[in-house]
Amino acid sequence: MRYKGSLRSGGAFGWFYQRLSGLVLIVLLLVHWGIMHHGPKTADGIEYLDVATRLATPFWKTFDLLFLVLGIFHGMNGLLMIVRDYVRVPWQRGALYSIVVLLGLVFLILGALTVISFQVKYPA
Amino acid sequence: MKYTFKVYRFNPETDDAPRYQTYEVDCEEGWTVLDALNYIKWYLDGSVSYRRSCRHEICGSCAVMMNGKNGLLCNTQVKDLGSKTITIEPLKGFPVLKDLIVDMDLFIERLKAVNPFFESSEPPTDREYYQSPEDRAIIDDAVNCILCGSCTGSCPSFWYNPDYLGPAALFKAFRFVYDSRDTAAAERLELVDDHNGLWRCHTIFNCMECCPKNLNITEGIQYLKRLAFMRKI
Repeated sequence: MRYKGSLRSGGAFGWFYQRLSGLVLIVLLLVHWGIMHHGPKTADGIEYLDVATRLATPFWKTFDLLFLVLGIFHGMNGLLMIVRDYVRVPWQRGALYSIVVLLGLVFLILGALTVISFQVKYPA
Repeated sequence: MKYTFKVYRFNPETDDAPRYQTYEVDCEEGWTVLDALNYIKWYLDGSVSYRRSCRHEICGSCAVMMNGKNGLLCNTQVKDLGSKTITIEPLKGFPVLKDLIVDMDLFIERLKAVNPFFESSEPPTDREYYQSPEDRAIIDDAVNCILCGSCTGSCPSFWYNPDYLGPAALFKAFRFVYDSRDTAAAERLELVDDHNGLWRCHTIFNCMECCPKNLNITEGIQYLKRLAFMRKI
């Protein structure tokens, strides 16, 4: 029998995912930072064409998609944990869960659409 | 040497809000905070209430918060707190019964939830249950817990959510799950694998920072998390 106050079983996968995605995100962030600030550039600053040419290739599309998926779910998982920590009224917790999941999915779809359908528009 | 003690005073039956009362005490070399509080109670103000029993860091009844950090009154020397003004408050997260005395019912209830007793499916023989020194070393820390409540009272996850089992109960679960003679590990893991159990711990480290017995509580909880995850895959 579970104890009084027990919420429900689970949390193991969320815990493991948070650690695994955190590690991968560190590597992705370092690569992202390196390529954005120290990668090849056509001008002094970062310009549209630098980013666009990269984003048009399958490798960077996959890289950015991975970044997006891991980032969104890592953040969403973290927010759900915060909600679970601080919100103890069941209906309020449920409502906030739904908002977080919904927002996560919206941003995931928006991000995925941008990355997948992106094509370079060369200046006329 | 003269010290100023700011003591948390609150009687829920008569007071609207807690207040702090200040006492000047001329402490002798080597005095613990308990010695100073005893001096206050015996010579300055008999109405100050606090728990104490063994004075030897083993009964666990005198856990309070001193200058913002939990610990035992009896094993904290006044001079080690490093300031001339010492604030003494009850453990956070528990209802205050009077002054420094908190209601530990919740703590005991959480402890009971993890079945804090040895269970073995092997029939008893005329010998003791054997445990190798190496196996015993794994739970050395956990066995030394005196259940003072300093860790649970220092845990922000517990302050915000008293439904959380808390570090003391989880560490007790670790003590039996990792005991080579105990055979109820699966049932115990099932009990702590809960959003208000293991997964409410966010590795804040307050518990082991303040543990008066210097036990590595956070590590024990991490071992439990790892085991709880491994048995699911």
